[in-house]
Amino acid sequence: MTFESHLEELPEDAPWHEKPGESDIEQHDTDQIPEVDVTEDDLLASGSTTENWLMYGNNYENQRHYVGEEITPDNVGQLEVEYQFEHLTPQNDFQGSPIIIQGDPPVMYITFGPDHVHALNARTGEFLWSHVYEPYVGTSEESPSAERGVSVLGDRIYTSTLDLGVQALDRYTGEEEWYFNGAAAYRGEPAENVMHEELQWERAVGTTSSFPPIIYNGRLSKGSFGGEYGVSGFYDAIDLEGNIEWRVNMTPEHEWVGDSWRHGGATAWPAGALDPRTEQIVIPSANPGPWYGTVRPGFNPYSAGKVGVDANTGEYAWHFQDAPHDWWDYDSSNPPMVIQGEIDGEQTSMAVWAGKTGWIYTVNMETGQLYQRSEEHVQHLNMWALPPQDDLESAPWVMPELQGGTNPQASAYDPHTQTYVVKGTNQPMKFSWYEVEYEAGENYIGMDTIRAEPVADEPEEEEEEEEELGADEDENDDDEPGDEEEEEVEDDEDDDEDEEEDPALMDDPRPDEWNGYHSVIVGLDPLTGRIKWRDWLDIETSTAGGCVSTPTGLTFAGTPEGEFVAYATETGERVWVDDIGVGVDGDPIIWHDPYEEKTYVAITAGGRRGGALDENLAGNVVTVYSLST
Amino acid sequence: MAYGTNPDERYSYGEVSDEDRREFLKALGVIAGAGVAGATLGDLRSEVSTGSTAGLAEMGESLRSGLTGSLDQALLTSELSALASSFEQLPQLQAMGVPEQGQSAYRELTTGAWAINDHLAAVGFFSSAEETLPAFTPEHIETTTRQLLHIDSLPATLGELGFSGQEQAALVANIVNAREQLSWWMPTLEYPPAEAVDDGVVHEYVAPLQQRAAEGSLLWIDGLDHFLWQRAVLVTPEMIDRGLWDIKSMLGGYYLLGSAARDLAAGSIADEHLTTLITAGSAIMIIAQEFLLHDVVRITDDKRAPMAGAR
Repeated sequence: MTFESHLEELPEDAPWHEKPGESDIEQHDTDQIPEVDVTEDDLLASGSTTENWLMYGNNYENQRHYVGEEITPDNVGQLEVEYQFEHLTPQNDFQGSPIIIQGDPPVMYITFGPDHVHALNARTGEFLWSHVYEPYVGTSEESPSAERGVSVLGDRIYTSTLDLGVQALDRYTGEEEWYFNGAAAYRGEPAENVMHEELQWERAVGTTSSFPPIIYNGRLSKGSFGGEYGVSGFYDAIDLEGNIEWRVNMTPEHEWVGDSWRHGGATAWPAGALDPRTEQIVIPSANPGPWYGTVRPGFNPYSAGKVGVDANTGEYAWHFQDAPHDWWDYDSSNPPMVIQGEIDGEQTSMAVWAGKTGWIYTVNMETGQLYQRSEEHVQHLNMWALPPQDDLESAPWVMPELQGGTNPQASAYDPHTQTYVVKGTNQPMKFSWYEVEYEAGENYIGMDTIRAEPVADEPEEEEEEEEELGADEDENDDDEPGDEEEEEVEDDEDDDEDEEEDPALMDDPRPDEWNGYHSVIVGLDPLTGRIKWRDWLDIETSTAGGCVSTPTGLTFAGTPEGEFVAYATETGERVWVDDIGVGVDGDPIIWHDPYEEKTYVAITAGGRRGGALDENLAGNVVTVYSLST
Repeated sequence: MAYGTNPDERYSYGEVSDEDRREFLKALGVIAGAGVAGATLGDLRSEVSTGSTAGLAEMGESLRSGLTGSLDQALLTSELSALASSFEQLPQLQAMGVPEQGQSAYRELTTGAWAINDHLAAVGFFSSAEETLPAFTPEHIETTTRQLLHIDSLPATLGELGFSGQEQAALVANIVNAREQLSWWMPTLEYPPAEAVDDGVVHEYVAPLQQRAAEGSLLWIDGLDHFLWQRAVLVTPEMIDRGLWDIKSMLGGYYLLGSAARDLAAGSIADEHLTTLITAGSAIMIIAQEFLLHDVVRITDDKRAPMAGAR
């Protein structure tokens, strides 16, 4: 087997620039937006300056680390709400990370679902313009459409759209410069109309995602989605005028039996990272399809893992699978991060990410070899147990469930203390598979699932055990089962719904081994794999959204019950907590405004629909805190 | 827990335990007493009758007539010889442990098998098998296993490949004892009705069962050089050992399938034996690749190599 380049041939006669939808632009006082030329050098410096937050993870490496030292454990309590910006309709569509472009005033660009882009005065929250794109394939009203932000270069911002396209917008006016149609060709075949017919379906939860493209060396690159719709994944690079340059086939045919590659999934829907030192992009890849594996024997590379490719050519560099031949939806959706570590006395780039599998992987960027797999950051139960066929009732409880481990929640890294802070989901689930047929635009999963009933009583405190965990040299330190209290849990990224009276739960509502905590925030050393601390969240749903760290030893993160927390990065102590009142599912960012001599912390809240959250915690609100410095 | 979700149960790693042997015999209608000593093919054969072979010959005949091309006896003979020599490499792989970066020792095991595979696919062998052979129902497994035990040449064939008497018995016992997981591998034609989907894409995109068994095995083996090297920090000698048994089983299953095709090309195989060897060979390959996953690929914390902090 060889893992040579798997670049696709691209037809020239595809409708690459035809836009399958309409835009509506609203403009207000756009003259406020200062003319600031954002260069690629600025992008390279984004993570090392304090006035900008120019890309999803702040730097190409995705570390979500702010280098300013203005906010400290001593003054974090002085953070005050500067303003809140609410976007009321539809609710619960914040899952992303704003970007900030410095100037007087600085400007915030932010996305909501579905396909809304807004420009705000970052100092006041004043609404400057919006661009709303409506793809003709439509979007579900029941589920959030998972928009995660924009990219910027020069006078444009760029957004990935929910119909697999990319829009370039004039960042001063919100007007469209060009549209790239990523559905114009598929598996080398041009679309007969505007979009290839196998890429058309109503955009819905778990199958839709819009992460900002990576911009590097004169091109944009982005992935695809729809793994649960029987597609085969791809990853595109386009030039700055929207012309396709190359496409990585994420299901290389010769590695799959028969034609199973054609519906093999392995889409690339979450955010990638880029290592400027090696000029490699790390592409996250989704689960193989269908979920049951008997029709697709073999490793099913590159599914459910990460793929390293040359950022300029797309040529294959390496791949690593979290879950080879996956059955459990353990797609590797966590945005990867690049850090520096010492291997054999040499500073080496490492890719780090949290798996849905409940471990953190640290991989040598140059070779793809695993350097370390961490201790479990959520509980494991019946790990890798195969689901039975058509028998959900007697299926074993499995942990992690399909949300993880960790899903697309973006982690933060503090290079000073070598601490990686990650969110995790800690819920039991049963899986049972059934045969399913492929039909274009329809679900192609073949798996029933049900979650454990919530614990009836308060979970037992596990502080003593956690204290031991930090110093314990035993790598297999399992959690003690706690008393269990329950509540119904909904999956915000899956179509399978639980029913309280489901027979599968009647005699077996939850496993004894479960500690009862649905979510956790964890600090660990990605090089040793050792967990430093865990904050088990006494909440009734999984946690989403990301983190941001500072060199002063703080990491900010939100919870689904509205808390916005500043942790001591190395110990996990809660240094400061504010109640936003809306489930915090977005990614916090920090910037400094030299004109006002203030440092701002922004967090988007309200990212999920459905029954997962108390209705009181629904909403769409950007909260911006400030601290005079 | 539904059987099939815990692969530790009822699988023999080169040696059939008393419990597994009892389970095997029970599945074939033999109630074994407390004394279950001995577990070679001969021992099992002595306790299991041939039973009915109804339909096996007709299936074999249909398979033969369903070929779209001519089998190349010389090619099959030559490549089977290459495949047979792969078994000699297994002890060296055990001694090697985790491969170095860029090595291809595992991939080299399958060179002969891939050549056979390409030829069988080209002459419509897998398609014909798919059209002809039934699903892995308990009845079909029972019938073919009884027949397999009574193929006189089987012990010698497996013995020449390096399977000890115990290992030969384990190969056959695993077919029966892991039958539920085996049944999950449905023939393509039993997938949901084609009329429910556009233009019968189900049949188009799911490879024939025997092809999935065969190529799946080869893809798994081919990927191990990279996989083991990449996860050196997690891999233990026990994983290597167990994986090598799974690989030996897959290659053994492939050899049975390939030798049946060779003998078919030579006109020297009875139709019921053709059915039996293809079915058994495919079954062995399926079970072995499922257990390769369990033994090597899906590494839990309790199985991984000790974590010693920064390396």
